[in-house]
Amino acid sequence: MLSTLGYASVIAALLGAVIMTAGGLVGGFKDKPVLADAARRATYFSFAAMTAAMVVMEVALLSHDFSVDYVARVGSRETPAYYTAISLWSSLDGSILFWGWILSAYSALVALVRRRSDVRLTPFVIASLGIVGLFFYGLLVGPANPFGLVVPAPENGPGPNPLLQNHMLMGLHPPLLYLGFVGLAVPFAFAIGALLSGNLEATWLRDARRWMVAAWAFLSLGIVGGAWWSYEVLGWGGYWAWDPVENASFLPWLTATAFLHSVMVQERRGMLKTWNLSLIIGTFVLTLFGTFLTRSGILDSVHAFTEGVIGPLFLGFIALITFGSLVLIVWRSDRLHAPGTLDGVVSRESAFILNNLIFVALTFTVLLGTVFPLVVEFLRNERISVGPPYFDMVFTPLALLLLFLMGVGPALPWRRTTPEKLRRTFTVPVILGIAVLLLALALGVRRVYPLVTFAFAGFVLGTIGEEFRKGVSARRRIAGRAPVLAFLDLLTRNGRRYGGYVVHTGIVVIAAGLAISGSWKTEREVTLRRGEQLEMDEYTVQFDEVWGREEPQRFVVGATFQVWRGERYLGEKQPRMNYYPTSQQPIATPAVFTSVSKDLYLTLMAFDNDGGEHATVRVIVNPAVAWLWIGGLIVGIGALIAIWPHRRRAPPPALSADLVGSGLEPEPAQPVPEPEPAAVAAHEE
Amino acid sequence: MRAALGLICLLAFAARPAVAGAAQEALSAAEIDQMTAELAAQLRCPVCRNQSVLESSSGLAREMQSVIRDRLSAGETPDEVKAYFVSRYGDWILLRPEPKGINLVVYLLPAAALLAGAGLLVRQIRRWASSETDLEATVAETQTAVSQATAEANVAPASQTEADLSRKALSEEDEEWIREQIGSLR
Amino acid sequence: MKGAGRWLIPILPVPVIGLLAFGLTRDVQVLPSAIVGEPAPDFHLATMSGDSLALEDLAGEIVILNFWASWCIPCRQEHPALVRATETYDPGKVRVLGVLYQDEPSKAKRFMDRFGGEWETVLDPGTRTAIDFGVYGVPETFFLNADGQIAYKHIGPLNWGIIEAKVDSILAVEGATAS
Repeated sequence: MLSTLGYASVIAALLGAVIMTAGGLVGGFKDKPVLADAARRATYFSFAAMTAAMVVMEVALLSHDFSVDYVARVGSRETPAYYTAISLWSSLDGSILFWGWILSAYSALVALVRRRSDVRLTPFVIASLGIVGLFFYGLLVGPANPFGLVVPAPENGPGPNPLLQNHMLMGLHPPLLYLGFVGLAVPFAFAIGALLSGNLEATWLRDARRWMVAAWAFLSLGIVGGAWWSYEVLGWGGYWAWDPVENASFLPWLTATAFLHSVMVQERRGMLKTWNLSLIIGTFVLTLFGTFLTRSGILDSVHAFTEGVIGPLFLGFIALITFGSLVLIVWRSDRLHAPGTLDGVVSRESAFILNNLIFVALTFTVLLGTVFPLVVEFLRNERISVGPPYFDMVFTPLALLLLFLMGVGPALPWRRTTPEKLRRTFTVPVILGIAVLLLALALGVRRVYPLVTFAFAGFVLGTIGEEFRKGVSARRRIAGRAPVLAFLDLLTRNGRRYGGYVVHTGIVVIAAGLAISGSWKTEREVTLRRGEQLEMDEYTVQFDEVWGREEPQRFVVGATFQVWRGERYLGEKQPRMNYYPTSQQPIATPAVFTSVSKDLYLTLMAFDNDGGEHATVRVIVNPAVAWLWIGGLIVGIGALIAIWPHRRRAPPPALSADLVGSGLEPEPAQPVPEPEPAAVAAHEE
Repeated sequence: MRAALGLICLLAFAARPAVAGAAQEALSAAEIDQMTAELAAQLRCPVCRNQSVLESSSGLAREMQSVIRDRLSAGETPDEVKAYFVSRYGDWILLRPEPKGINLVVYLLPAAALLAGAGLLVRQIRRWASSETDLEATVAETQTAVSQATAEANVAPASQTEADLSRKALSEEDEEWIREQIGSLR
Repeated sequence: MKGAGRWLIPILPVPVIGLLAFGLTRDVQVLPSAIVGEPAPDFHLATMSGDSLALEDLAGEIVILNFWASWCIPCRQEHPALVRATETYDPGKVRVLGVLYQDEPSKAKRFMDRFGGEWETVLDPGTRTAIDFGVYGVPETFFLNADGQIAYKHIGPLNWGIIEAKVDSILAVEGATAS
């Protein structure tokens, strides 16, 4: 029953996508509002259908209806309800269902937001989303159908992949990543829509940018969440392994970040039109590439699902999207030509362009490192590995360069500047950078990269601080606001700019956290007897006992440790090993005491099988890891500020006298099209 | 990311001859531990997915660590130990490919691409910078910027008038800020 | 972007797509071994029955060297094929030899009692021999020719077809060099 219902819903969603595509294209090209409207409404239909399919799947999972194929493969009566509910994304077809549902939700939201705006562009945007929908809903109807009927229904199933049912965070990090990944389809749809409609002026770009920021924020949170998951679950004491799938989520993030900067150059100066289009399209292609990596099992990875026919289909879709987009760009190339001018080589536009060069170089490097084993295998039939030591080596210098630019770009004026202004702008940041550098040296840091990171971090914070100081004091003088209110004014009234600075602050916090944990991380592996204590850093760890516990879905062996920090008793911690019937290797669950300054991280490595007299434990004291999570949160908040809609008031009767004569006189009564605040806000929630 | 680790690797490279020399003499237990950890971080755990021998808690990885330790204690240099693992598992075991032969591509291509990109960019910037500022474009741009000067509404309360503003003592910095606001608010 | 040449731009990504397509045609689980064609690493190990066995004792025989463990599910799957090998081949010519991988001898004995098979298994304390052979995991099987060289390596569970093919080809090579 559920099986039929779910399948029918997916077919309905596919039908909706057909109408979106056909109606949008015909309605757009032939200028038939009726068809365009039908396409728009079809997004709601698809969304309703996909929601129904999701609900059916959740009901099937939670009621253990093993006659549904997907439930028979990932469900089990022993798995706790929470993990059963989120096992929706623990395997291939379920995750495509989830992906499809998010896509349908985004599409419906786009249709809703744009129901009254820009009748030229919207049908094409809907059609582009429809094309993406055709592929994903098509997968669900065909090769990745999760609703297949199993006859006779088995009594029980194997349960989800042990790694994916081991921590609460599994309920958080994949949805965030999916919201980010799928969200990037929206700016892509705007780009394709603009190319199709032929109207390549700046309005589409402004709308695309907001969707991009939203998706970018989700993606950032998803990446940080993934690092957190890796840290809390995998038990190896690290948070980023340059795993192909981690790289796959990082690549679109890099290009999206590049776009968010270069888009400003186009908005201000009308330059880089083709470049920005390419970045949007490249970002979306990279999300497809990332999904392809995860779904095809083409590269060794923790996350690979290794399934047959989906891989080639994904590859075909990637090829189609890439080829189609490039054809469109070439077709419209005459309208994309923009005579650019650069007044001063030292200017904000130059900084953004340099920023883009580095972001693209980073993307290229990470991509090359990720697929290089394939290249070697193709050419030489040999297997090699490209792992963390390589990525750390090539990534770090470029990332440091970006960190530096982050302190330069925002402080440079557009167009041109003078040496005198430069000196004034950068005095405080440079002093701060040097001060932090000296402090780090005094604290005993001797390695080059951490030192440079600290110095740049101080420099960037100096720049950001200066920007806020200038803004606050200007607002105090102009509007007579109290300092705190003036500060809030900046965030609420020009969220785009000052939210951006908040994001930058978060990135600096993350960079500092990486450098600190890299410099002062200490670890030891010891075998302790009952009652024996280990002193490490300021912690004392005492081993009490080994215990075993039968749980419905697994057998758990844990060791109990008492922990003190200095004189203060922190409590008991129980790092565990979990034995799942479906997994040869036990899955470790580390135990972590987190604090802002440092983490104590315990992983059970081995234990005495008979009697539990001793246990081998890996103890890591890892400073400032919490900064990564805090920094991630700050990035999220900053992005939220940046897209949070603010009220706009009527223009004042006249501008400041100081601006008269500066070539900045207002043009009378040219209405600025309003973005749609309410809808974007709803979307963000 | 994990900048320090990258650096350790670089230093390990540079320090090679010194380490080889030192291996002749008896190494202290702490030195052996340190070298073992450094080596283990560069070797891939065969039964894991993308973890190093150092990080993995799997039985095989732990035995591999003790093989590394034994071999170092017996006087082998880190290079010899690495070569031993390569002879058994192939280059696959190295998390960072040896910079030789075709592997050079993965080291040189990013640098080459960066340089090429920078070259193109410099050429483009020269072209942009040398082209006369298109007067018409500038005017158009200015007009857009000013039409965006609803911005000003956000900067100053609506009641703000020219007279009000002129009464306030605006520093040069404030003016710059206002101008900046006009541009950045869209 | 001017002229007809610009229409060549869309086909630029073809090599990358081609590379990924190639990636789909191969099995990531199958890793080429560095030591195929090399002399087998020397070992001198205790057997489960209490004797000891060294590589040199195997000279002149084709050896199916099978790394296994009682906790490994695919090892159960391939077990009948190994049983068949011991029944098919002349004991003096082709020998099956197990190497126990990260397991306890008592559990391994129970496994052999339950699933049958008469061949010897050597113990590998410290997994040193497995690392010497470059073993990734179990089951993994090496085919040694009469000169003690590693002729083939198979990762994952064996079946009779694989054993027969590998042993036959070793026999064929040896027959050719003998005559």
